[in-house]
Amino acid sequence: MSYLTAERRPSMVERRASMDPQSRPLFIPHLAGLEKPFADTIPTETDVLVIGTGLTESILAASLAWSGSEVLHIDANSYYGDTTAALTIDQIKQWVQHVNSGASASHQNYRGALLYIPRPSVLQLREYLIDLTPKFLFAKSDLLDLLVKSRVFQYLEFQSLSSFHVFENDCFEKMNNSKESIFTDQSLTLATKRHLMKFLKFVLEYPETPELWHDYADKPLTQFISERYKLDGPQINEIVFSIALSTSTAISTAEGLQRIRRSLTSYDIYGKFPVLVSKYGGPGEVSQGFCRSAAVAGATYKLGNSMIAYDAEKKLATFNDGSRVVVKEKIVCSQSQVPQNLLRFQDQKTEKVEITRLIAIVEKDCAAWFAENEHSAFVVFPPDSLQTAVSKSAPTPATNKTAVQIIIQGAGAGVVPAGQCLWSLTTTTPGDAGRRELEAALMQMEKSLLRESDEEYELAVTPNDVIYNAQGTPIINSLRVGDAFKGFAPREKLTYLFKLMFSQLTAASGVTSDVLFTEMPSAEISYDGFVAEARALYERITGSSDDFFDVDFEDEDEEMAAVEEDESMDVDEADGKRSRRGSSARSSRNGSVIVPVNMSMSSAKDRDDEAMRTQDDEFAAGMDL
Amino acid sequence: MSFAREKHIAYIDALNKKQDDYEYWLSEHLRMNGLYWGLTALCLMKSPDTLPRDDVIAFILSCRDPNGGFGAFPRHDGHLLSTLSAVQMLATLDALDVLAPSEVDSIVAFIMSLQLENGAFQGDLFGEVDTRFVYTAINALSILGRLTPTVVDGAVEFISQCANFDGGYGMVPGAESHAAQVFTCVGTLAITNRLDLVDQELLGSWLSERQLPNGGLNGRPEKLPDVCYSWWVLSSLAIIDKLHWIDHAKLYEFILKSQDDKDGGISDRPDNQADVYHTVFGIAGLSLMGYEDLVEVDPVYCMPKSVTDGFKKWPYE
Amino acid sequence: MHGVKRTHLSAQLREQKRQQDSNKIATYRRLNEQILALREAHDYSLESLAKNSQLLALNPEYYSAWNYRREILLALMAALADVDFVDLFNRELHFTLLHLKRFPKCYWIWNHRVWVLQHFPDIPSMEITPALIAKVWQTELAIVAKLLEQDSRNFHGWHYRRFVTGQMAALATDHETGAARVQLANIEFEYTTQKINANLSNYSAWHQRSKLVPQLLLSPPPGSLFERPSEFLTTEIAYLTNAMYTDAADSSHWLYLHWLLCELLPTMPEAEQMATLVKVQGVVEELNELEVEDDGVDNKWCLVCMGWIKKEMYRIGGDKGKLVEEMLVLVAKLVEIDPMRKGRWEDLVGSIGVEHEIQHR
Repeated sequence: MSYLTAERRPSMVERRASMDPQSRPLFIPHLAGLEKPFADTIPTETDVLVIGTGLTESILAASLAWSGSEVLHIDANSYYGDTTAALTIDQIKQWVQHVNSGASASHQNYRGALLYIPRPSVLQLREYLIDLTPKFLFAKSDLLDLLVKSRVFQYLEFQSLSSFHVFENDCFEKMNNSKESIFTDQSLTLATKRHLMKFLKFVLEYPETPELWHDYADKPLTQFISERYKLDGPQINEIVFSIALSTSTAISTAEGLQRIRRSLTSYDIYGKFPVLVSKYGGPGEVSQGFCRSAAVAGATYKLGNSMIAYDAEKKLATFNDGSRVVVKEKIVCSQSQVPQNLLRFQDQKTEKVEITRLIAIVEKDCAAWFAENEHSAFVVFPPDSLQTAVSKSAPTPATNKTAVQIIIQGAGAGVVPAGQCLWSLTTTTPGDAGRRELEAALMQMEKSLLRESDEEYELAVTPNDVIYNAQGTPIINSLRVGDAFKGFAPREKLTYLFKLMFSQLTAASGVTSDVLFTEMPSAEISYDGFVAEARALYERITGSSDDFFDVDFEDEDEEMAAVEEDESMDVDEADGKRSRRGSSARSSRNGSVIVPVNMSMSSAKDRDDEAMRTQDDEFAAGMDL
Repeated sequence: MSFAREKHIAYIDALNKKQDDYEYWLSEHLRMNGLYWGLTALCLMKSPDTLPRDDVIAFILSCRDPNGGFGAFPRHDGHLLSTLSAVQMLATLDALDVLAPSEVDSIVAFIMSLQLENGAFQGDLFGEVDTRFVYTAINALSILGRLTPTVVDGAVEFISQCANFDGGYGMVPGAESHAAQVFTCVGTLAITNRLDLVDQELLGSWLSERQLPNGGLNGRPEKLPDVCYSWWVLSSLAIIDKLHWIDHAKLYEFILKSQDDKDGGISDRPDNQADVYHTVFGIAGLSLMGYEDLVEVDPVYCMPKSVTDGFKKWPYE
Repeated sequence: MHGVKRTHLSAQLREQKRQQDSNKIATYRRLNEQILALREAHDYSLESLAKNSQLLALNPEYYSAWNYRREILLALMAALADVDFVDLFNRELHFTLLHLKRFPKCYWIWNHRVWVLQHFPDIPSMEITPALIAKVWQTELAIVAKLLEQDSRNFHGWHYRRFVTGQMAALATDHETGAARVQLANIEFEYTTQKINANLSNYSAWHQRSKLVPQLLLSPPPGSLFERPSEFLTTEIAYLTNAMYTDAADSSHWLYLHWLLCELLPTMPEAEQMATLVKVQGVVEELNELEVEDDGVDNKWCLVCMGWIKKEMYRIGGDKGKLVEEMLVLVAKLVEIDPMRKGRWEDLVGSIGVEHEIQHR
């Protein structure tokens, strides 16, 4: 059954004009109207009831709706996105209250929320969006595939993120993840370049050469890299924390290699960057996109709605607005808003892992940290790179046990006004220790930012600070640089406009015959995991995942795009093979990445294989000999 | 896999009957070339009579252009490429005598009119310049026995300027080395008896590096292997006496794997769509290496050696 | 055709294709007939141009149709037709660009673009000024830069780039031509560096470099490194050392090094030649040792390179007996690690041996 034919049901959601950034009204949820259906369309039965509009739930709702199930999707909050939402300042204030009071049914698994807004009058409230769960999207990933396939990407705007910094020796080093960056990096010795290149080449093919790493599969990745590829400290940190994006030095070789490969194969698909971020907030935007898609496919939406009673025998749910619905198949419930009446279905014995986040908005633009035309960057403090503060309960000085991962975003990402910057820090070190680690990271970021932008600061370099590399090129010893920076006393102080700290408990989901629970967001900084979880739930509900989003999303625009004339000098869509679909993505001037409709992972793989090895096929025209 | 001779013969025979295929009509501008590829392949496979001789000759003659050359199809413009194919086929069929001396003169005039001051040749009056056309012109003139010192010297001079840092040749001076261009340049130098101008060891090395681990040959570094290069690279090696610089057994395997053993024909690489262009070059490659009881092919002309042995050799006495 | 996956259609699918094709065939044949008839009737008008565009959109390799197109444009110009020629030619450029996007390797489309650009100055119009022509070529350069960004190995692109820069040099007034050419050569040299930095394996860029360097050494841009050939050579070798350490398996930079050592170096003073050969040999030997340590086997290109170096040393006066012995050892290893090219290595043994014998009879 295809929904995108001319006879499809008109939906209140078909307002692409509302996605125009200029006209974006921030206080009105983008899917306004979706969740207030006319009285006579409220179902009294449904196939699936989904509680919570987080990303997993939204993907699931859309997949079920597209394959023909009736879906009722509700959320106790007045906004979309639930645990993955991007909230305004006012919404954050309410959220903090709910978390701390413990009374709200829709903020479970959160605790210890602290909010600091020193000068409320200064905050231009309309212009902020705070992601509860910041994420970025790998160019080669199941979610990106799905976004393209389902056409949900049309609702979103993506930007590239190519700046990955590792904090090393008191300064930030950029990542080397390609032949180009290795070749042109003046600070690496020839020997290091060689080993790094060999390692990267190995990783790209590692599934096919198990004999080269099987002995190390369960051993730490750091050991493998150091013993087999003779790389040390700085390169290992870069690989483990900036490319593999691990949070701990203990990561195994098997897991680490997979994560490194994920990054390397994502690089150069759409351009010289491995990941993308969505503008105007991360998973929250993506969730809304899938909700919109689900609505187009016929799902019903209700915000501010929760289930107040459930009769398991009759499978009858009663909601706070008085309506009653028979749920014919299953209930899927987010762990953040499990109603009282479903608590008994939950398996309470699962282990909970704690993630703590610290979000700060500073009154400074952080352009120095972004690549050209980009508005986001990633920074990581590897374990042991930060001195945490001493306190009464922790009198001994310590360093951070796990990596602190940070996503920085500027005004161009649509989450703060011009001249300001948003920092989102995450740690997996539990308890107060974790909070101290975040604070230490924040201090360091502040110091570095002030230093980077202090125009009058001059680094006094003496001949002792200079060393010569193998080609005879002089480079500044970064250790010395670090020392010099330690003495730096910033002239100005950094103004914080907002600080939010909170902890979130992740827990594995439990399952019973009728009720399925989705997981709280994980510490994983990429979107990996959401689609897999949705798919697994889909299979649980329908019996098989073969038809998960197996719909032919026709797009009238596809044929038109192929013949469209382009007045500008762009020749980006060159593709000489008639037999091959797909054209490359363009990076527009403001840094957005435009993914064309007919791009799919298989054509990207073709490009992978043929990237530098395309044939010279037009010789046929002339070689008649 | 074995060599599916009968299937290939049937495949070529059926080519002209594909009038229900859109591609058939879209390739009219290649018809003369396609016919030459098909006929040559059949001759190498010892099946020269599969295409009726008279029909072929009639088609060729129907493509004469008042400008003196032959077009790819009736009413198409005369061009060096189709002119060469026409002349090659007439020679192969031992039918050059269907052309009256005045007709031969006009063909020769057409070809010579396309030579430029720097010795290069245009494809036609619209000016595209490429070493392919030098080869085409020299080849055609040599078949007709009408080379002249001026034409030869100019051609040789232009070719020399196309030599590159790696021993190879490009399509014009300054252009990157490419196996097909290497063939045309080396072929021209062979016909004009100037192989002394080739750095044979350096070129031979570059050509030998075209062989990839899977046995196939590519056209230039970092590219995928392709059966047509079994011809361009192999024949170039043969001309400079370095045929043994690559592994024949592995190339043989690669060519065989690229056959369509169901419908016949050979494709650019295994599992791709077959076409007559790759069919003739795969077969010619096999012949050069001495496999499969095929007629001996001349690496300079890509025609049966028995035919080319009869051409007047330069310098004419 | 290239790169098309083989499909064996079932009888049912074949029938389906036949039906789909029959409409396309009818359309194409009708259009083709019209064009052939128009041409034979010498119809050179904007209407026939438009029809011609339709045909070429379906089949851009139809060279005769391109010829007809050019005849139309020439005839319109000759007849001084009441047509905005600047606009017409711009639309021709547009037309080619549109189809180049779909078929960036089609000779016929490139040719037509070149032809249009070459005929721009012939346009009967007051607006065709030198400034306009210069701007046209600047635009072309930008376009081809974009294309090479997409596919830096597209030789049509490189060819076109050389063509465009050649035209730009030719635009300079007579007394400026030399300086303009040198300027452009320097810019193009920087361009190759940029391309190589972006991708070490870019053979096309290394090739281009090998063409520019002799030019630049012959007429060095004022104030550039090319004014001091020894220094240039040292810098270039450092660059290549960086390349071979970053990726010892890639052939492009090795072949460029061969050219540097065997074509360029011999033009330097003899003392410098031996010193350079010794230095590079040291670097390559060291690299090979690391390769043996890591992979357990010699690196083929290191061995081949050492062979080149020893051959050069032999030529300019090293210890000939010793060099021959060393070369034979290298070749024996090559036979082992690269058996596909056994014939070549064995010939090498032969030639070294024979040459040496002849020299020492």
